[in-house]
Amino acid sequence: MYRRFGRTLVLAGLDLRVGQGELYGLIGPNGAGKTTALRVALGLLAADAGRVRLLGRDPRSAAGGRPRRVGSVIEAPALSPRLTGREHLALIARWVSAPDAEAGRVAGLLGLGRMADRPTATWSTGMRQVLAIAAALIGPPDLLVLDEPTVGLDPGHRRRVNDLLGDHVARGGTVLLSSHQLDDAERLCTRVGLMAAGRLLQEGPPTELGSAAGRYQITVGDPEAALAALRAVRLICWRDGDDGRVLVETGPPYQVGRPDGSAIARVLADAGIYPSDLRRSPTLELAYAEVTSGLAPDPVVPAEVAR
Amino acid sequence: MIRAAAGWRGWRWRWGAQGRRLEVRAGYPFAGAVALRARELARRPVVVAAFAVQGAALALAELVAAVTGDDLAGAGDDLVLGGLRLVAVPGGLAVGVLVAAVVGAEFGWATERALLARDPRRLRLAGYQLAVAGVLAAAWWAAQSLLAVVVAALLEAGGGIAAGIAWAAPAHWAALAAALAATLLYGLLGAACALVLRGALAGVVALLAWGLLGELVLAPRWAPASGWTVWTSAARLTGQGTTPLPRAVLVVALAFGAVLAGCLAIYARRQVRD
Repeated sequence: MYRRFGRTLVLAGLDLRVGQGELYGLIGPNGAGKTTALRVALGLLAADAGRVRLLGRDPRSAAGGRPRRVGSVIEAPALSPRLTGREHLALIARWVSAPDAEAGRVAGLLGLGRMADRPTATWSTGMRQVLAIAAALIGPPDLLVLDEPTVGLDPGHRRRVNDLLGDHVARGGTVLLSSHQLDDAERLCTRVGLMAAGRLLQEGPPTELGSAAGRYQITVGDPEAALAALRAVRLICWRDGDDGRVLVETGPPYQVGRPDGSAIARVLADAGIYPSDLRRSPTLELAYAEVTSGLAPDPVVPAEVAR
Repeated sequence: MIRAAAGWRGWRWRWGAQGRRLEVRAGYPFAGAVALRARELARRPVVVAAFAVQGAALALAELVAAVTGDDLAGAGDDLVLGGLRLVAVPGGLAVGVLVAAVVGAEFGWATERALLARDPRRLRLAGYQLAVAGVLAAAWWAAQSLLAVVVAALLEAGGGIAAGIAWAAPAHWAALAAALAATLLYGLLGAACALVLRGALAGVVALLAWGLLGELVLAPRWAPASGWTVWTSAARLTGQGTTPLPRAVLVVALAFGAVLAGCLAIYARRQVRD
């Protein structure tokens, strides 16, 4: 899809498909077009060119004559300041023809408690974000479209929201989210798409993106002994700094058979080496850096969008 | 449990910890959403202040007319009729400004975004905002009309003013109906300005530019337009002015239809950029 604001081409041929039961993360720098993509997907904005389908329908179409089963949080929470949290949830429940009991259910899910009976004007930014997420869960929806849902949340609510997203997908629901929280995205998402300049540049499971895909980092007391043991079984590895850290490449095309962390631990244990730390490298972070470092070629723009 | 509105079984009164409330029975979600918004409006300081200022101005005008013996809105000694005429104009324009402010404020809070993301039907959202505007305008009309009648009746009784007409006379009922029509029309105009221009300030400025500058300053300078304004037509419905009554009815009806159709047609293509 293509979308232009004035002279700025914000979406430059974004090709994105999210299947049912996926937790898809849209990652990219500020100005990459993530929020615009979500707005177009929800039908808040029309695409200048391209084809958009949401749950099999044109997202701007009124076909069906009833609210759709899509919950969303786009940018800042959209709340009436004079309504209490519970009333806001009830308003959304009525808007989507859900029973009022839904308001109580989602308030409980996010632990709003007595706070829910206070006007939202008195809520902190983080709590307003929690309320907006609770409103998105009313229905419950089949699809959640969330734009940086955990921004401004305290660690407790952030974990709770992440758990809820995982539960939603486990029950067959679908989540499309944009985020700058790469660690959350790497842990939660079944697939991520790396966006820059209005296009998708890389897409796949978060551990398989970028040049660091499948890389493990180990911290040992004697890195030279560890390197020798690993190289003896033909693993590609090297020292990373002077603090005992060793990096092991396990992803394609560097290795055949793709040994995992337990295989590496077993090789080291056989050599009498017990690492104090063994973890998968944060591949998404490196992939993100690669994408945002200007690797994207200029897009090809169709005539109806070009001006 | 008390039924509140005859003919619409979706409404009910309910006693709760915060007193008696108008609520909506399950199965009427759209009316329920409007009822929640109406409750929220009653908490907004701008709404409370507007009701209070307009009520005070109305009562003061009747008091001054009673004390000085001056004519109130061309109704002679009839303070009830004079008060009801003030509720129609300029009271109608005041409620239009208020509606533009409260409907326009929704754009600042981006609640439109949350609702359209859930249900992309623009006309449903516009209908919801217009229904909220209608509830506010109807409440305004009821409160201001009641105040106008009560204050006028008290002043007439206390001051020994003989209006020469019973308070329940057909002229008063006609003025009451005309005030309702004017209030709803101006409320619709205010909501339409806010919806089309997507903001409180823009909506209020547009309504005032049209209602004050256009109708009260510019239109009287151009003879063909002077008898065709909403202001003169609304006033004529309450018995003021020399505009032919059929023309006044036509202008009000046409304005209502044109504004409603224009507002819905423009909003149907709404894209949410903010």
